[in-house]
Amino acid sequence: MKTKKLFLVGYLSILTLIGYSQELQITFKVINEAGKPMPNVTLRAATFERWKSGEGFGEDIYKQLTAVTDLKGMATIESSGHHPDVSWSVAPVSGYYRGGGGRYWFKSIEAEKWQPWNPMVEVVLRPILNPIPMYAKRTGNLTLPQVGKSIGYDLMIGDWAMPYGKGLKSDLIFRLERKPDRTVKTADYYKRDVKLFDATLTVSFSNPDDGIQAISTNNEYIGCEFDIPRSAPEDGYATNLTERTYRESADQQIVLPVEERLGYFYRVRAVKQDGKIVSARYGKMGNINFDVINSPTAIINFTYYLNPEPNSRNMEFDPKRDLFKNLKDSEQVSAP
Amino acid sequence: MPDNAFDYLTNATATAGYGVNADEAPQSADTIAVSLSGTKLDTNWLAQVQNNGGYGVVLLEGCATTTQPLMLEIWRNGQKLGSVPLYLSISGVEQMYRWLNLRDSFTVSGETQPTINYPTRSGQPSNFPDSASDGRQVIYVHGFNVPEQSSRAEIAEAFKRLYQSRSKAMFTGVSWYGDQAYSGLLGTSLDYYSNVRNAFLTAPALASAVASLPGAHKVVIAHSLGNMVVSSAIVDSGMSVEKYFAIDAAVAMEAYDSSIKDLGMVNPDVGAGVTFQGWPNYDQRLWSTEWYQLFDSGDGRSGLTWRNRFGAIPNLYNFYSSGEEVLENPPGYQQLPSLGKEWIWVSQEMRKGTGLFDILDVLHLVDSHPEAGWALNTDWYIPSDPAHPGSNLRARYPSETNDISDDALRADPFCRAFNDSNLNGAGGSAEATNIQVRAEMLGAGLPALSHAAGANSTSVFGLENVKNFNMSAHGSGGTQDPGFETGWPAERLQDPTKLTRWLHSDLKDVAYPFNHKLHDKLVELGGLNQ
Repeated sequence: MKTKKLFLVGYLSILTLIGYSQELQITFKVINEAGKPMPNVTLRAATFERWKSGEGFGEDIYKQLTAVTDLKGMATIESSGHHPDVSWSVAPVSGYYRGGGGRYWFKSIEAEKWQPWNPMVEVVLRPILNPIPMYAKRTGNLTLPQVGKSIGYDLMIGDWAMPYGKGLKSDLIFRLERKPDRTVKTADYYKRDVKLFDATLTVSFSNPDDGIQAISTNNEYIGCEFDIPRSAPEDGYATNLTERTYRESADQQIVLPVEERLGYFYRVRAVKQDGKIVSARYGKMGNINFDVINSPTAIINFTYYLNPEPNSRNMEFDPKRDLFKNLKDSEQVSAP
Repeated sequence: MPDNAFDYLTNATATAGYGVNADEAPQSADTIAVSLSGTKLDTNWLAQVQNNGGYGVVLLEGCATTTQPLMLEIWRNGQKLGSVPLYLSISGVEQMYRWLNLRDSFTVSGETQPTINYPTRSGQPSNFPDSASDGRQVIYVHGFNVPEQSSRAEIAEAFKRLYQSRSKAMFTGVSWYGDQAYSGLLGTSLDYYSNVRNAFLTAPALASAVASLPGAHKVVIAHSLGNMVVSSAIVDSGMSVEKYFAIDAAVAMEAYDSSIKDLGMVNPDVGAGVTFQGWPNYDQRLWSTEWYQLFDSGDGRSGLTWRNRFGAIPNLYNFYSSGEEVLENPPGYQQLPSLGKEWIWVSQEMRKGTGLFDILDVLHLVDSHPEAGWALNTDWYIPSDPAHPGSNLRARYPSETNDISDDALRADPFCRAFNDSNLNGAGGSAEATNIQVRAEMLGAGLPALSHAAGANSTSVFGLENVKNFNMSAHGSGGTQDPGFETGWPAERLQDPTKLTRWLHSDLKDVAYPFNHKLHDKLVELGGLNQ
């Protein structure tokens, strides 16, 4: 009996430690891409209520709330919560891409209310306008055939260019330079093996007006199912992209290629006449991952989309109309 | 057999194509009771089979053990024209794999070993003999807080899911004592630290048991804290496996790569009420995380750290999730997370040694006893009024610690004292190499200064989609490609705390149609469908 009481006291103590519930209020403003308010959109929000014991790590119980936007596109959630944050999401709206969702963090408590009181969160919903067929593929892990040699990749065939694959054109050209690896032992108690390496991957193109540019993470659509600009830029393409990864000592963290971006736009098969590009194909791709730890050359993987229509810069993909047929499940792309 | 014969297992979103009229979803398709005298196949369904090149799938559920064949009989005008037997052996799923119960594989002085209700079954499974396998062996190890009976369920589910993903390998489930201090009243164990220790103490037995299992190629899959067991078994006890799939690994990244150090994991608050400045302002040599550095690398005490505890295990594949809740990275730099399931791994690391665990200890809710961590050692307190040695003691300000020598710290750490004072004495080096002592220190006393491998890409193994797989965004590379899920159950998408996140136990908590791609990947990488 005494033990049970102790358990009960303990349980209550833990609940107490989780904190006291404070009032909160938050307003969402939902607009479309043109900046116009969107009425009748359902906002969902959740605030932490309590922890429930159970197997594993138990379960967090949240208070689930909904609100619908008015004619001004505004919806206000009023609740209370033990934790200084509220998770929110936008319910699916027909004809629009799945909207954003996230977490708002309050900064302080004043007068038993989370502050700032009633902050405004703006949400942009993007309509599904013109999704088109594309060559879209997750490449899976491609082993770069050689070091120190330029090796092409055909985006429409989805393979290395000949003689390393079935590709006919070298849309992207990969070239890896790497210094000899070394293995050293850590100087600590455990004396672990650490592999030191230094490799640089350059991606270039066959045509002088082909190129690549990073997609900025600084856009208003982050969190949306379709999170990049609708069109690839007309200009601003660099003729190559160089990424380096290395580790110079056991104490040094592995230096990875910069990854703080959403991926890249690219332009291939560009033809120029009289100083103007008269034909080119545009596409988008995720980060180019290359691994030199598990390969004497490099293992490369990336996800890409290529608009087949010359000069069309539309980047809105229809996942049901991939121009690649018979892709393996792991190669298929389902995002727009 | 047509390629799509097993689509019913993975077709989470289909609304038609199943049932006698092929107009129902797989999960709600007609079910028909079969009596002892058999049942007549629906003529509509038979017509569709005829129109489908002679192919159709009948899914049958057995409700009792039998070795009698299933008979397909062809009748016309009341006369049986012929029959075809399908030879079956139906029994409980546990008859299809081995079971290693390692819950009592170690002893700790003063503690009671758990009762074993389901002893090890290391012999050939009666209903999936080794000869029916491809000769490979896959071993599954569960995580924290899974009692014996529950581990049976989790292991059975793990087997079934791999089997449904076409694994032909032998399978062995491992139950270990990761639920010490389990309270029936709470339905949980609050003692993570004792169970971290137990993970290390189980590792030698796991290594030994795995060595005895048949199979030329062995693959181990571990979930959550099960990765502590497996990593230790491989590194400390020489367990030999061809591939190691670490899923949602509740292990600090620095254990695999000592160069990873994140000062955001420093507890900012403890001591603040006493010293007004908190841990971040104290010299790092005073932290419990750095005590090991006071000793040269030949001294056992220099191994009292998470850094490089395991090193870069060469065949480890890190299946992590950027959508984790349990292992989620802290909400801010040196910000103690709120208590709850979310951030609980970070929370327990940042709260090691602190008063919360004193409360749990006093209430007998845990068997572990707080030590070291982010708490101060009162031995180093000084009189609040230097002119009056008898005045109340207080913690030193950071500026008052400069004269503390390394020798003094070796003998008496600035952090809360260790439970095992032998570590501070002449025999401290040998004491620190004791597997139990080290495991207890790591579990309860030494905080990680890095995030969990199960929530982050850990590049020492290799890069994305080669040795690190983000289950929340597999292959996305910056686009909004989903991870290994095939959609999510509708109710999840309505919950803003979940949405499309791959949560800590989605491997086992979410139905197979939604997460089969992960199991497919394990089978593919492990070569389990040869």
